[in-house]
Amino acid sequence: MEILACPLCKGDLVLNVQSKEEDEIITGTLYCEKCNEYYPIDDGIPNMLPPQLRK
Amino acid sequence: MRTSSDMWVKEYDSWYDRHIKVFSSELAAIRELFHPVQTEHRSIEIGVGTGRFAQALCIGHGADPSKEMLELARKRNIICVQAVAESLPFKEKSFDVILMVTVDCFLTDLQQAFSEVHRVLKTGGKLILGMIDRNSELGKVYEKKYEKRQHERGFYTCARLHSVEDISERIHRSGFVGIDTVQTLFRPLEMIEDSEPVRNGHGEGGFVVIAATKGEMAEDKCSKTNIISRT
Repeated sequence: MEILACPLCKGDLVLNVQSKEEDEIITGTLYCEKCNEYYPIDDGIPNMLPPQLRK
Repeated sequence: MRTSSDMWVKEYDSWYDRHIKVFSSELAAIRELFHPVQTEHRSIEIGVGTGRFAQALCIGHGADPSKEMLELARKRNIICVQAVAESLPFKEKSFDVILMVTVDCFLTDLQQAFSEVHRVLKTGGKLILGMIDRNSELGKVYEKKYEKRQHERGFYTCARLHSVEDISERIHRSGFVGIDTVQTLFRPLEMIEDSEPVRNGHGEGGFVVIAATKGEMAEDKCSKTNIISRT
């Protein structure tokens, strides 16, 4: 998704794909260089919650 | 370890099946102001839950803080992102239409959420917001329910309803223009056996839909003013 941004700084993210099903990314990470934060993708759903709200 | 959360997600999702006429009345009210999304348009429901409304309205994307709910929404072919409205993980001007249905009561910072919604909407884009009016009879019933559950752990903990005036004012303050409302659910939920009518305005119905358009951005106006003053 080209519209995804870091929830904190709204900056660009670096995508790292771990597994894919057809065109869909199932697991991986989105990384914000500026905030030095990783956002995990699990079961095809990116977890873009701000770090303080993650369980 | 997933059984208890799976159970409340199913319980939440099945509410719509048990109150199908309430759901269809709410959907009809939303449709009154939500014009069919064109294929080239990008739309999102914020607080998508299990995706009932998004699926019915062909909305492509959904955001919600609950992973358990999103897993169900994803099965309904909605592209899901785990996120909160107050801190949206999208670039500015990403969407043509944003839907929010009975989300206002769960937000921790309403003004911040509307300012984020405004940021990610394209200029001229629409916000469609469905809510239970705090001042309606239905609103009073829900407020009592929430009060009762205040000390229990559960879905409605900390939920707080708002009046249509309060929400409209906050939407306006965030930079939205052309605010319009329609209403439905005129009778107590347990007496609704058929779809309820949809009427213009608010003040009588328990469920109100507010539509608003993202106007020209304040900074755009500022930069234009600056250009004029410099010339």
